[in-house]
Amino acid sequence: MRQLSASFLRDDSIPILWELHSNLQELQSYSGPVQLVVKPDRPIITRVSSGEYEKGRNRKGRYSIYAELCFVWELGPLAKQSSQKGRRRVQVSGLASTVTRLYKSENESSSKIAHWRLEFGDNDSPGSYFHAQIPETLNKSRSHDMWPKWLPVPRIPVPPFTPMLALEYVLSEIFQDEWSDHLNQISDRNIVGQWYNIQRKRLKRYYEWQQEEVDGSASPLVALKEAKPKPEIFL
Amino acid sequence: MSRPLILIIDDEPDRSESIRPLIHSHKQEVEVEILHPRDVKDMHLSAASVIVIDHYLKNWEERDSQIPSLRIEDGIALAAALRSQVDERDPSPAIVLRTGRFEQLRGDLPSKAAPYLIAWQHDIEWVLSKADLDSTVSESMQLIEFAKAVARLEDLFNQEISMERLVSDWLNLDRSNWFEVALDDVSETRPPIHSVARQTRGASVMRWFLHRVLPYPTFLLDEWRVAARLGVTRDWLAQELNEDSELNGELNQFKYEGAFSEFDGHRWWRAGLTNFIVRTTGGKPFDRVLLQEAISFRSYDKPDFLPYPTPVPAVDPDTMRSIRIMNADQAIRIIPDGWPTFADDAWAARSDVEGEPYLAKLVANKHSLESA
Repeated sequence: MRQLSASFLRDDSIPILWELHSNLQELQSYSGPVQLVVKPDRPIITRVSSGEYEKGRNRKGRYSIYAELCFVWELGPLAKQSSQKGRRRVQVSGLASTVTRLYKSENESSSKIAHWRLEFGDNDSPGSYFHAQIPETLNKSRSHDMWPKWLPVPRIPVPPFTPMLALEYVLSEIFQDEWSDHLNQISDRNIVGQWYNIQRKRLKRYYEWQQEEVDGSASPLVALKEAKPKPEIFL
Repeated sequence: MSRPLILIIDDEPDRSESIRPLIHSHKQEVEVEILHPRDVKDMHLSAASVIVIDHYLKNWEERDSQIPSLRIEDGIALAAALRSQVDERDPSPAIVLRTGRFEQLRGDLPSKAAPYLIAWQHDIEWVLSKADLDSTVSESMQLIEFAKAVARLEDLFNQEISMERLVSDWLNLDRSNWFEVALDDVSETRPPIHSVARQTRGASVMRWFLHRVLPYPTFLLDEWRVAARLGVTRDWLAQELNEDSELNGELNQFKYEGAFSEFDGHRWWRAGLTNFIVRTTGGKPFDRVLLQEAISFRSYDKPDFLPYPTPVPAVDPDTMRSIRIMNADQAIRIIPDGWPTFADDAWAARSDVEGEPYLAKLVANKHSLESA
């Protein structure tokens, strides 16, 4: 994703992706849990989309916008069975939360216009396990306008968003045509292929799991909402 | 086992004699033979680990009377002729061109990149500037490093080559808990270890390392990159590396000590550095405060921390060597010619890019100029 997304990000965000890559690799050798945190004071920032959030080559939105991404992911090693060789497997061992914020960019100033959070729940969570939430949203007088902090619902069901999938998602939203054109035109197909294979496998496993959970309940919707995946679902 | 031989071919052998004591001053187990081209015999070629050829060969009467097809005009032509004669040797000796006209030979190439870009152009391993060779110790050390690397290749080729053996034997990395990560990092740089390595008798392995790995930030990082990753100034790190501190001891555990380790300054394993950061921050590698505490606790002198959230090393436009560390928002990613896709990004100061049309052409992302 680092190589795939580089031309859609601000240059100063690229080293953060390098660090993330190295730290993720390190999970292979480090025995304890690892916390991967990209904080709001040093977020991953996209370049400005000049109305490209509208789809259609002859159609452009009126505003210039960009996105910021920050996240907290806590990962730990998954016990290795004696018969297993090669790469160590990891599991989400704590928080798995990615926040995306959209900003309107105007005359060298910017204002936040939207935000959402993509998360994995924990075993005690009421579900949906993989969900999106809208964080607290304040109006101009800084009083609660909508989505107050005390309101934990709705937890809108979504596919499992890792930080990098959340990044791809927002890029595909604010660069509607350009992102898909980029994926089709990129010359090093290995880069696209690696990303494709990882995401395809995860999403297939997710939808297979959803399909299994749909059966055998009075309400398929409630069944899906309450379902908890097994830890090895994506392995 | 006989000592590796460095064979120096010069049309004025006496002038190259000054190299001999310099090489021997390093007290390494190598032999040096200095010969006029006319005196080079098969036995020399078959014994040499490194063949160093003078670029300009003026003093060679026998050559001057030859028909054009047999006339070897200069060291580049001689290198090509000798290459075909040593092609079957296993491992292949390194061929190095020595030139007194390095600047002329490099033309517009950045000085740091020129030795391997010219070498690549002429099917040799390296180009040395003769002036430097005569005056500095490091150039003679580079020849010793070649001799040692070829000897290590011989060991590597004694058995079936694998990525693991390349890393443990040639790159000389001991088994540690981050060995597997380092193995992955090395694999990403696509070392030619299978049929190509056999076909070229190891020359491809040497060139992969010298031309594609060592000059760039890949699985090995130089002092600038290590400093940026630790968030300290390069000067402070350089000083700390001379101290008997716990930090230096820890850094030494992942210092590169394989082939060519003394060829171009020190390098450290990226995987070892990341392991150090993850370990000393208790699994919170993005936490700068924890990292600073870990460094302070282990260092001899009070650390000189960088005031930047995202420090990157920026290169000098002419040489492409790192010269300062700055925050990423003051720099721009560039893609110099030949920069491998598997290497970390190259950065130039935004102010340099804006004042230098040549650098502006190398900017990786045209949008980054707009976001100034």
